[in-house]
Amino acid sequence: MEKSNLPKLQDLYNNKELAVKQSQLLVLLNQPPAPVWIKKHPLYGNDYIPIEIQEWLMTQIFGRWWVEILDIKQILNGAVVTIRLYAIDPITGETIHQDGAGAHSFQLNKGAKATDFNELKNESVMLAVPIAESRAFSDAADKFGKIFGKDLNRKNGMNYDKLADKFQQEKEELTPEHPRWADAVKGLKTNNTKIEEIKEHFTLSETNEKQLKNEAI
Amino acid sequence: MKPFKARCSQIGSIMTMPRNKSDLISKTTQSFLETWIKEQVYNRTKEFSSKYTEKGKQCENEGIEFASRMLNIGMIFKNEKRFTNDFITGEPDIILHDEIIDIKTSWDCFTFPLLDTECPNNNYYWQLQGYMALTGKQKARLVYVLVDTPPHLISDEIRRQSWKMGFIDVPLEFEVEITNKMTYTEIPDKLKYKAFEIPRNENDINLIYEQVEKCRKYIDTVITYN
Repeated sequence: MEKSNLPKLQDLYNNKELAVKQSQLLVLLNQPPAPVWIKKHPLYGNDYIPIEIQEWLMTQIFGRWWVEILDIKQILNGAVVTIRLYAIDPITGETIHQDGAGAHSFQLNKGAKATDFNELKNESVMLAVPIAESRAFSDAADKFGKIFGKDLNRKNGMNYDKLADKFQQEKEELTPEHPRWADAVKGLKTNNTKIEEIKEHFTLSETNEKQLKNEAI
Repeated sequence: MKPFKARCSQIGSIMTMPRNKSDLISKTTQSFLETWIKEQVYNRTKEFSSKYTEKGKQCENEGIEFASRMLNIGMIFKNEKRFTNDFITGEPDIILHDEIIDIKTSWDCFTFPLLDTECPNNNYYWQLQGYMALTGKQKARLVYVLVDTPPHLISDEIRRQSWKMGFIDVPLEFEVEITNKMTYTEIPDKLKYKAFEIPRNENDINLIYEQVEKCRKYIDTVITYN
């Protein structure tokens, strides 16, 4: 059988000079962001690049860029905005784009159920849509490359652990190694708590219950 | 209509004395009782909720755990039993074998009574007298704690403040500033805890009961005339 020669990577590009320049752009776009640009979100603990830095980078790298809002809709109790972030490729002069989506929940009155839209605060839509839009912008900008923060949270993932913790409120097991074991002994010793109360809040094996009672004597 | 009984947290509202000695109760108490009457007539409760009370509710367990550590009293749990007698009703936070502990979570370091030497809020004094009356305990401690505000309440505050400031995209520095004001991780524990001892005062407990009687008379008068 006759062997076919695979094309070389360079041959795939019609214009080798352009290809080199494109590679340089890709290399630039995929440089790690400067550490000073990276901020840690005070609530969720994930790393991110603030939108003003992303906008500044867009201007520095592409010169011209603009945003088209593709869609704004309500999903469950939030606004979802989809945008298309356009830029002029500095090498080819062609228009390129990345799409992004962002969401933000509507603010409801205190104590209202998440689905009770009669409880929407007056300003909730005005507040949610621009925030969702700015998140959509970040989402789209990320896709241009690492320098915009593309891989920031890949290593550690979005820190949803803290949110997940809220839903994982199973009883902890109280064992002699538990940091509150000594507290439990003391509580029983001083008669400030009862074994039944401890069992209401912790899982306590028979063996550990015996040991706890013994230590409290 | 059921006979009026004061909730311990509301006793302070009926303990102000009238300016005019010929009046049965003060204007403050009258106003409080008008709300109470409406609640009974319409069978609706006038809920009061604010960011301050919300933090108190959300951080209740953390506050209890922190207080138990600082008081060195071992493991304690929130009391969930409501006590009642002929005049008052209430649910103390913590009932130890010899005392009552009531925990107040300060909204921030500026409302935390760091430098106070006496119970900073008269309403709390009356509240604890009420609890002691209900449980037969001889002493009580009012404990203020300064714990970190939960993240979702910080988020609410950031939104609230950014709305006031007219921000659409909230600057990171602003988020950090608000978060910093509402969290105290680096502050030593001793600066986040303050306890005030409140001994049982039989005279004051009797005064509470007298005021409840006066309130009942006032309620009768109001209802009769309407």
